[in-house]
Amino acid sequence: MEALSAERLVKVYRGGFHALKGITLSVKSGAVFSLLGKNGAGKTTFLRIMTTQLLPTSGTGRVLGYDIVEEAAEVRKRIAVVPQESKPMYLLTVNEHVKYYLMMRGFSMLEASERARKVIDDLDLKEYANTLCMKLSGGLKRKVLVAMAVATEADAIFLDEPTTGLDPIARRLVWDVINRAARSGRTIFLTTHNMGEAEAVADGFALINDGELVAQGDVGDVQRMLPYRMRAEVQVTASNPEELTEFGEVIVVGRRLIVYPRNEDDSKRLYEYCTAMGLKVSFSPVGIEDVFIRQVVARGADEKR
Amino acid sequence: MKSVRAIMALVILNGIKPVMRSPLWLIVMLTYPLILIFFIYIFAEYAISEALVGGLVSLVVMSGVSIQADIVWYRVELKFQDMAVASPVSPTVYMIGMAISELAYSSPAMALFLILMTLRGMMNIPSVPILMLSMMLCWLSALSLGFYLSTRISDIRHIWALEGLISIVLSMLPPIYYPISLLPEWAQTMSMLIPTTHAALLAKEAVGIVSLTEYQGLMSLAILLLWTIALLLLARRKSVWREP
Repeated sequence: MEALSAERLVKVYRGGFHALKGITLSVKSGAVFSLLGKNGAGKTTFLRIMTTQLLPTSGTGRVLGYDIVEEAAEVRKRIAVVPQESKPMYLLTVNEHVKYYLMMRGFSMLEASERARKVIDDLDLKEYANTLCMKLSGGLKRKVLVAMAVATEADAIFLDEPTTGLDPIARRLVWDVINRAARSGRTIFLTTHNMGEAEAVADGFALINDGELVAQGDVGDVQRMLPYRMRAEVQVTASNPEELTEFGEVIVVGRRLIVYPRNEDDSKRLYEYCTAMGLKVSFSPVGIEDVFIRQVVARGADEKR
Repeated sequence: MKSVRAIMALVILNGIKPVMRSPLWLIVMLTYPLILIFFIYIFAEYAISEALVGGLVSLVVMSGVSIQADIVWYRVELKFQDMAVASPVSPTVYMIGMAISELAYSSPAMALFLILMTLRGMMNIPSVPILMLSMMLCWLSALSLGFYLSTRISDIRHIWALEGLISIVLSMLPPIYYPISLLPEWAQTMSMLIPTTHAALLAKEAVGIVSLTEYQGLMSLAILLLWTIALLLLARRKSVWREP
């Protein structure tokens, strides 16, 4: 069953900016799904439309079987959202945050307290339960917000850039919460520009660029989406992009040079060439970032040519 | 029942808990009208009863208008309103909860003013209904204005500046703390356009400080009522829950 589906979703903001240019996307129920794209690609606009915060200009969307425009009230009963750059209230404790948010959603005081206690235990927040949120670190603050969403009865949880601005340890704290929530069988939809994050927590992903969907698939199938198995990141010098084309496809991404060897022999020869030339090189299996690079960066370079 | 719980939760999280943890807000709320009363007591002791009514009206205005800062803070800075929009909470319940939560900051000060008025012998049972009605309408007008402004302004710094300006226009300049008769005729006419003038006139009449004719009383009530309805409609029409 589909937890979320969008059909030719378009959003044109006042002033004429086209944030979404006809996105068609579907997410399986019970999956962790990641919507990827660089800043300004349209990820937040898509999430805000699907969570009934923003009206689409055209197209349709359904969440858990309900239309996001016509049946917004039904959608709202079944979802919970952690918006991008959201912050907890400074003068409330962790426990109060979860408890009063649940009461706001209609739970009785008793049930809200019980659920809050459980989620705080489950997410290892017990030692901070009675700590004011203004005294928490950035990672813990985000964890509290995610805990609020996880503690609800929502069948689908939407997290907009849940780890942006967090250090690697804090990021892992939030990933841990997402993984635990996913185990309860709920659908988790998150947006991020961090490809590694999608690989760490998501089952499925979609890539959007300038309001258009450029790729969609399962994280486990990424290798099948690419014609190469390996990638090599090579130290950039003045002349090497041209010289390296004999070992495979070469893409320059800012100050990085990525080579996709066509086969094992190319990889071997590339390694030998770099060693002989004294160039730093590192090999790794291809991942979502490579789908993004090939679909967005390489296509952008072609268009410029 | 779910709506009552939601309102209760909003009152606790935006009103009771912050006030308990930062009681300085209560002092701030009280200081502004009390300072004016202090100066009126020194320079014109005879007008102290008028000033007490003025202080009460000021508190009611501040309690209503200050909602704009909280709404903008929750919408723009904390993004809490986004979490509320994408939840079963209705906009009406959210607004009622936020409005009542503001009373947590001002009600202790209001209670103090009512006690002072009682001690001065200004309060009696017949005065209570009209006093309450005028204060309720004044609060609804100020709240609606606060809601409306919160939808127009997104920068919290502008809201703080505006809040001070509104307090001056609605509760310092008009004849709230002092008798309307002290103003020149043109200024008296001007002040009649301001809703708080009428709320103060009705309150002062209720506690026996001024004497209004039946026509004047009904006119003041009608004007205050019209302001309240107009501002409520404006707030309702312009408030944005789901963005277009």
